Amino acid sequence: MTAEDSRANFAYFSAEYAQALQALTAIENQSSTLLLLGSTEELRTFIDQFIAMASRAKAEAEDREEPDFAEWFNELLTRAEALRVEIAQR
Amino acid sequence: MHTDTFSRLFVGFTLFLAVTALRADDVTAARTVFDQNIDAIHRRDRAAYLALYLHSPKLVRSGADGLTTGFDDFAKGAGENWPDALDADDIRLTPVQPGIVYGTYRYRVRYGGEEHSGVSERLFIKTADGWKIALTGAIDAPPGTPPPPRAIAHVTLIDGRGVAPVTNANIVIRNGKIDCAGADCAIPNGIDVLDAKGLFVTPGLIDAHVHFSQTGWADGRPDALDVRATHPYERVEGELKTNPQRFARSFLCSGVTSVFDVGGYPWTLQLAERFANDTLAPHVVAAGPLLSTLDHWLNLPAERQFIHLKDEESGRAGVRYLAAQGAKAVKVWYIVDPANLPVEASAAAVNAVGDEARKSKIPLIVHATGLAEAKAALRAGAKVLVHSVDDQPVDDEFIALAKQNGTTIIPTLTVVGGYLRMFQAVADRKPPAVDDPNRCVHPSILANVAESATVPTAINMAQRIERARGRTDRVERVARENLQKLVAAGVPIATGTDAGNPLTLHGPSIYAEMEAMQAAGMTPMQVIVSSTSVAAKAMGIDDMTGTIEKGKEADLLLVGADPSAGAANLRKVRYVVRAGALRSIDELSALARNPQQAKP
Repeated sequence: MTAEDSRANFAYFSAEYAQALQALTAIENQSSTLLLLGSTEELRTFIDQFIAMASRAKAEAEDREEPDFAEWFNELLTRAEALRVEIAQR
Repeated sequence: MHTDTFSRLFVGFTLFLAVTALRADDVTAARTVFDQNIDAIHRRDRAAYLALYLHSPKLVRSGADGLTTGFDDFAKGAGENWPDALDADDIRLTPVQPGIVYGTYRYRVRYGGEEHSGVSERLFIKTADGWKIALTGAIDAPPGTPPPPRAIAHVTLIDGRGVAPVTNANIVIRNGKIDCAGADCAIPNGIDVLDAKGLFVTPGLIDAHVHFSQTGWADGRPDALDVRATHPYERVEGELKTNPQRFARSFLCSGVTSVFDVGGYPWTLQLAERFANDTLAPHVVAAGPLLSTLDHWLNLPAERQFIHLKDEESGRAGVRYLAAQGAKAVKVWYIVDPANLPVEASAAAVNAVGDEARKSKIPLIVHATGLAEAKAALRAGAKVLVHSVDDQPVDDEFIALAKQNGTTIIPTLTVVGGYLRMFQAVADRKPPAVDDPNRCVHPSILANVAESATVPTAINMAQRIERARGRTDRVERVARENLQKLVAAGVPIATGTDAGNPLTLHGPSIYAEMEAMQAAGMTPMQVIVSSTSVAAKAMGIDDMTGTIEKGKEADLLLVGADPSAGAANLRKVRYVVRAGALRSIDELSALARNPQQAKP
C-alpha cells in the first residue's frame, strides 16, 4: 500500500467512522424516549440497519488492512448489539 | 470509495424523531382530553363533559345497535344518568394521522346494583377550538372476558402456603390469572398499578362449609324455629333459588372467593355454572341434596334436600343420582339418637355410600358431631368431616383413621352460637347483633334477622335456649380442645362456617369462625392456610385457586393490617380481587347491599 493509498484510506474511514458514531449516539440517546412512545419496531429497524452498515464497514477496513478502524467499528457494533438486546428484553 | 450511508441513516433517524415528536404531541393532547372526559363523568359535571365533544351534527355515537349522529341529541341525554362508579383502565391511544387520534379504554361501570364492563372508544380530532371527541362509543364485553391486566405493587404478600410474609412484593395479573408474585416480580410498562403500600394480600378466603339453600335466619330452618306462618317455606326457598346472588355478593364483599355448598336443593348443583363468568360471585363447588340417616321432613313437595339413607341400596342409589346430576361430593348427614337411631343402625348404609362414592370418583363428606359416628364415617372413607366431634375427646384411633384417609376436618365452631343468639333474641324481644363489619349483607337478610324480636312468644324458647347453650358449651370445652389435638397431630384443618344457618350469615360469618380457630390454639398463619390452600384442597380446586402462585386464578384479598399477627385483621378488607377483577370494599359493599341486583 502506497503512502497515498494510506492517506486516502484514513480520510475515508475517518469520515465513515465519524458519521457512524454520530448516528449511533443519536440512536442511543433517543432510544428510551422512542420506547416510551411505543416506537419499538422502528427503533429496532434503525439499529438493524446500523448493525448491517457497521459490519460492512468493519469488513472493508479489514480488507484494506486498517486494523485500528476495524477495531473501532467493532466497538460500535458491540454497542449497537447491546442496545438491541436491551430493547428485546423490555 | 467513500459513501455517505451513515450520514443518510443519521438524517433518516433525525427525521423520524421529528415525526414521532409530532405524533407524540397529538397523543398527549388526546390523552389530556381523555382524562378530562373521565374526570367530568366522575364529577358529574355536564358542562365540562359536553365541552369536550365536537359541537357538530357529525358527532358520532356508536353502540351495540349501530351509530347515531349529532351533538344536539347527544347533549339532550347527557347528564341524565351518571354512573355511581366508573373505572377506566388500560387506556390505549394511537395516532391515525396528524390531528387525528383513536383510543380505547376498558370500563367497569356501576349503576346502583348493576355493573357492566366492556370497551369504550373515542376518536379525537384537532379543531380550531382545540382537541375534541368526534366519536364516542361503548360495547359491553361478553361474559367471561378477562379484566384488563393489572399490577398490585409494594404489598406484603402472604401466599397461603404458610411461608413467611414477603414485604414490598408485586403481583402482576393477566387474563384473570397471576402472572408473577413476589419481591422479584417486575411490573411491565403501561400496566395499571394499584399502589398497595401498607396493605397485606392473602389468597381470597374460602368457606368450605356453606348452604345456599338456607337464609341465615329461621325462615330457612323452620325445623329450628317455625316462622312458616309469616315466611312460607316454599316461598323462602323459591326466593333463594331465584336470587342466589345476594349471598354470592355478600361472600365476595367479605373477602370470600370460593365456597363449598355441602348440602341443599338440586338447584345448588347449577350454581357453579350460573356464576362461572361472574366476578362478583365466588367459585362454587356443590354437593347437592344430602343423604340423611334421619328421614327429615324439611323438603319441598317436588324437591328434596334430604334423601333418606334408610339402607345400603338407598345409599348407593343416592350416590349414583348425585353423580349423574354433577355433584362434586356426596354429603351424609349422620344424625344419631342412642334410643331410636344408634350409630350402628346406619353404619352399613354409610359404608355403602362411601363405597359407591369411591366408584363414582367423588369425595365423601360427613356431618358427624359424635366420636362414634365420626369414626364410622372415617371407616367409610370420608375425605371431609364437617363439624367438630363435641361429645368427647378425639382419640388415637380417630386421628389414625383421619390421617390414613387424608381426611380434612372442618371444625365449624361458631354455628351453634348463632342458634343460641337467635333464640335469645326471640326470648328477649330484641333484634340480635349482626357481625358484618364491611356492610356486605343484603338488607332483606338483615330485615329478617331483625324480625327475631317480633317472632310470636307463644313458642317456648327456654328449652331451645337451654339445648343450644349446652351445645355451645360443649363446643367451647370439647371441640376446641379436639381442634388443638388434631392440629398437633398434623391433620389438615379447613375453615367452614355452615353459613345459612341462623345468624351464621353468608360472608361475614367467616371472621368469627377464623377468630374462634385462633382462640382454640391455632396460630394466625395456620388459620390463613386453613382458610385458603387447605380449604381449596378439600374442595378439589387447589390446582386453580387457594394460593398466590403463577398460573393460579387471581383471587385475592387485600386487608389493612397484618393477618399473620391476628386473624381478626382479616376483617379489615380494603380490596377483593376475583379472577383479576379488582374492586374496593366501598364498591363491593354498594353492590352487595343494593336491593335491585341483577340476576345471573
